[in-house]
Amino acid sequence: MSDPVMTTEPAAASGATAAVPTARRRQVPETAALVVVLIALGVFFSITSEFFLNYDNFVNILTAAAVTGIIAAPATMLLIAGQFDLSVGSAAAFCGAVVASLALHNDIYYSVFIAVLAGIGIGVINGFFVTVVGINALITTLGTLAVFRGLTQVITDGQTLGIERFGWATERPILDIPVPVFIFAGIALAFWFISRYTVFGRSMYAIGANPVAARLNGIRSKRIIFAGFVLSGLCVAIGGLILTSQLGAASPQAATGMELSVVTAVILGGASLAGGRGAITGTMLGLLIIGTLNNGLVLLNVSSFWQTVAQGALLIFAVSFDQLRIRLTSK
Amino acid sequence: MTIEAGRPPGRPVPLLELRGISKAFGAVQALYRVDLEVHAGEVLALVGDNGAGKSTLIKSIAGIHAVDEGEIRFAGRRVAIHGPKDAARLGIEVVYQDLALADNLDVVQNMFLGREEVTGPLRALHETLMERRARETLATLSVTTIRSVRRRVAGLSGGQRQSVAVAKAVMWNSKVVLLDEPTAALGVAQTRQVLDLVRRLAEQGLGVILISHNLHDVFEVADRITVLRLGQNVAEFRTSEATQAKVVEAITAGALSHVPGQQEESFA
Ligand SMILES: Nc1ncnc2c1ncn2[C@@H]1O[C@H](COP(=O)(O)OP(=O)(O)O)[C@@H](O)[C@H]1O
Ligand SMILES: [Mg+2]
Repeated sequence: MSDPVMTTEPAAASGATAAVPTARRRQVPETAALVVVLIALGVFFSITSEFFLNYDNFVNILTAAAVTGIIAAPATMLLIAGQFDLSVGSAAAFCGAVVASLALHNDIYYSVFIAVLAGIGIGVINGFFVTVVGINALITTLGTLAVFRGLTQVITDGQTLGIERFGWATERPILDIPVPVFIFAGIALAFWFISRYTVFGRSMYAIGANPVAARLNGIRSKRIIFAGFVLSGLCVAIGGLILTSQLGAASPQAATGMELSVVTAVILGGASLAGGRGAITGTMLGLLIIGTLNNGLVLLNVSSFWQTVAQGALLIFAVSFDQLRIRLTSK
Repeated sequence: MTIEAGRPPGRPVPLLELRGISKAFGAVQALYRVDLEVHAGEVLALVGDNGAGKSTLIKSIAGIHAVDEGEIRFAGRRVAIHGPKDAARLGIEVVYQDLALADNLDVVQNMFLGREEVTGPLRALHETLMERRARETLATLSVTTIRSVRRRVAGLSGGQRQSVAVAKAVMWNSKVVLLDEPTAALGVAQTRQVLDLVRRLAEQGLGVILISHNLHDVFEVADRITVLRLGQNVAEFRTSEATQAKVVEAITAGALSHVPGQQEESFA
């Protein structure tokens, strides 16, 4: 396996200069594949629809992807550590219901503050059951998915709950780009930094790849996973507030199926169900692929039912690809 | 040639000393009143059959397992070690049997796992510093087989992985290094390198505890040999005064001071 003649000199040190984290070399082909798919979709829709290739439509794609992206960023970190959060859609709807119902009788800042706390609180609950009680994350968050969808319906009494003077997320401050896209960009950037350049992010990669090794190296896995769920809750609250602002109301059905879109984007982006793999850049590309696909299908007047079919198929495709990779690398 | 209860006067205080360490996993008494000491500049070999409790003893020293009874003394002071970071603070480093490497991370990332260097107001990972120190450590250990410190360890051979694990342990100005079967997965030449390395560590004044199945290796590098059987001390030898036959006899049939009910003289 090893060359007989070797040197300590980093002659072939993969050109790894300062801040270039290393997983890079292997990720390049995958990222490249995602970019190729994205371009192919773009070309296809540019040819088949006269409405696709223009600035306004690109802004539309980004706007539609913003909330999913805001939630997919922490979800990527969680999956890297081998954890899932399926409660994101319900939790977002719950935070929306909280802000809309409180705003009926309270100051808006106070209402927003409580809604953000609610999101963080859901993260704390998920984190508690996963790390302290020791319940599998899939089961825990499947439970909270149901609990918070139900509580959303309780709060709203099953009705759409209007909210006044809460249209901030529809404003377009610069270049005709709406606020949520900027928030999305900021959060994506923050998580990109966290995952690649911080001890926290590095620890998540180690926990996902080899939990025993992480423990033997003194990494406090439970704390880190707990923090991951709390970050997810925080971003979910932000997503819920955006949805409520965009709609001008809290809907009890808001963000239904969000977990599916998020998991699809994260897996498509190269994260593994087995943990230890994944990157924010990949997730963002996965998200753009899904967004472009949805947008193109709408422009081609394909019914939204088919979008759901396409998304489910995409998820199965992405997971199959992941399984294939696991099987190949475990040889 | 059984264990001595007290320390003869005039001998220096051991760097690391265990007294009466016991540890049970449910019904399995993995360790029973184990004593052990290692001095600066000395290689102590810890030998015993599979399941004798060697790895459990190492993990107890590192604070991975909380012991049921007994005490650990470091440089004469009683210490409480609650986890790998406590052990590291004292200068105790461990190379685990399964190496404790994360396959998805590269050599540098693994060598600094759990204690990364950070820089700047955002406490960003200081990759350049870590890379340089990793290279320096590998160079001082004369590890010449790892060409790029930026390769993922998943792609390394058994010997290269072992080198990374050892380098990771000695990078921290450690005072005691514990190696759990470091040559088990290695070929002849690589075993040679690890044994040389073990000797060099002792020459630099570290205390080394080496677990090995290979008595040939043990006789080559160890100053003393301690034998565990079914979780108990059964014999201790100075290498210069011992023979392989005597050590083998102690491993397989050394007299137990205590025979717990659950583990009769059966060999599972
Ligand atoms: N984490 C654990 N949980 C339960 N039993 C364990 C655990 N670790 C070790 N043991 C048991 O303790 C005994 C000693 O094991 P170990 O220390 O690994 O032996 P050795 O390293 O000498 O081969 C064995 O009977 C083993 O099955
Ligand atoms: Mg062992």
